[in-house]
Amino acid sequence: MLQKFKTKELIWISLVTALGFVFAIFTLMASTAVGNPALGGLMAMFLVPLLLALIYFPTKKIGSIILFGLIFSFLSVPTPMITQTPGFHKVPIILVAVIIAEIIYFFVKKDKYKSILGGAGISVSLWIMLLITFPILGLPAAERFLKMATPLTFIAAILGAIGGYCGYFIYKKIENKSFVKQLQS
Amino acid sequence: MKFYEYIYRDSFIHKLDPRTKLFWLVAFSFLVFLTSNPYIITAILIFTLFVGVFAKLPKRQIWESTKIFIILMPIAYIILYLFLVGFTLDAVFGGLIFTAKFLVLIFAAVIFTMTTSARDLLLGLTKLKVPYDFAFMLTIAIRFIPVIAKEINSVINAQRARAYEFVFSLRHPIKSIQNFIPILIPVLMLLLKRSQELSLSIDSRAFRAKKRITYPQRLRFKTIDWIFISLITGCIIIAISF
Repeated sequence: MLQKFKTKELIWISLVTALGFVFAIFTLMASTAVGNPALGGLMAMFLVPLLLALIYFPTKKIGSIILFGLIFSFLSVPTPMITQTPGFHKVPIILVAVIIAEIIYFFVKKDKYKSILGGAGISVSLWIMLLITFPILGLPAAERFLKMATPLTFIAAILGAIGGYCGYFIYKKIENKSFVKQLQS
Repeated sequence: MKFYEYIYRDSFIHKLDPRTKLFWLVAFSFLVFLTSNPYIITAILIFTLFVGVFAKLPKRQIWESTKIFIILMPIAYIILYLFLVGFTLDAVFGGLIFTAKFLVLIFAAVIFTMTTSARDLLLGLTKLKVPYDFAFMLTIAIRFIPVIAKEINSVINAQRARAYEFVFSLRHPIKSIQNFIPILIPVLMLLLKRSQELSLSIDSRAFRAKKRITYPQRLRFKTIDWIFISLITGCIIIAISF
């Protein structure tokens, strides 16, 4: 799969993933500073779809989102990003979510809808994967999260859609840059 | 923020094979979540700190990289446990145990990246049969995290010099998102420039020109690697048997 990617594309995906990691660290700091680690999860629901759009649209290749997910999950293993807990369990969680996003990006025709639906898709699937793994990880009061599943799924979908659309909006601002054109050539 | 930045020192931890350090990182990551025994978790945390001491890393830099987690995480987790479990001593204790687990992982990851150069990491991953292109991407991402963090700080400072006010508030989510855009777009521009330069430089060195890749330096397990692996394995056996 990796062979079909040009060096430029591999580097772009790596750098945007690193950017995502840095932003996630900043949001993590902000969320812990306000004393609410769950806020980091909400920020991730917005940030991850935004980055997906910035990775997919310049490269427009199937597999770019999965690569992003894999690298991001390995980078974030020692941090509480996305899953609120550090550990290797986040690799399969993120992998499942990015595969779902990749499928949505593949089947939806228009770019704008790809970003919105793909963004909502990844946020919701991340949230559902978390709901499944919270009791397995033995987190306190996991059943409370289950009770809040429906409204939080709705919030995740909205945040993801907004994040995806913001990513598409930013992509539109940079799409005429020479390097983006080179990536698409 | 100096997260994931390599620092050269003449220490035995630096000289360890990257695969040995990777084994240590992965083993401890699993171990802290397999056990809930506070004594074992404390012992693992102390062991991890000793590895940091033996690595002769500048304490100030480790503190700079981890202070936000060391100061804020215990408070955040204790508040979370109090909220979820109730106002009991058990909740405070649970929050502290969870923080200790988390600190093991964060210290281990910081020590690993501070003692393993990008070249060694790439070499180690390829020796572990990780596809070369993927190992290359992971190494690039790790290598550029501190660089990108510095660039984001520069962009924020440059925007502040233009009287831009960075406001982050949950009460005004749309304004917060709007505030985020003037930071993100210049950072993306810098990333585009950096990607172009990097890909030109890598392509000009005939990257992926041939299927068979040769390396200037070969990795070999030394006695010290076997001793370290035995030590880690011993820790795992003791922890599991408790």
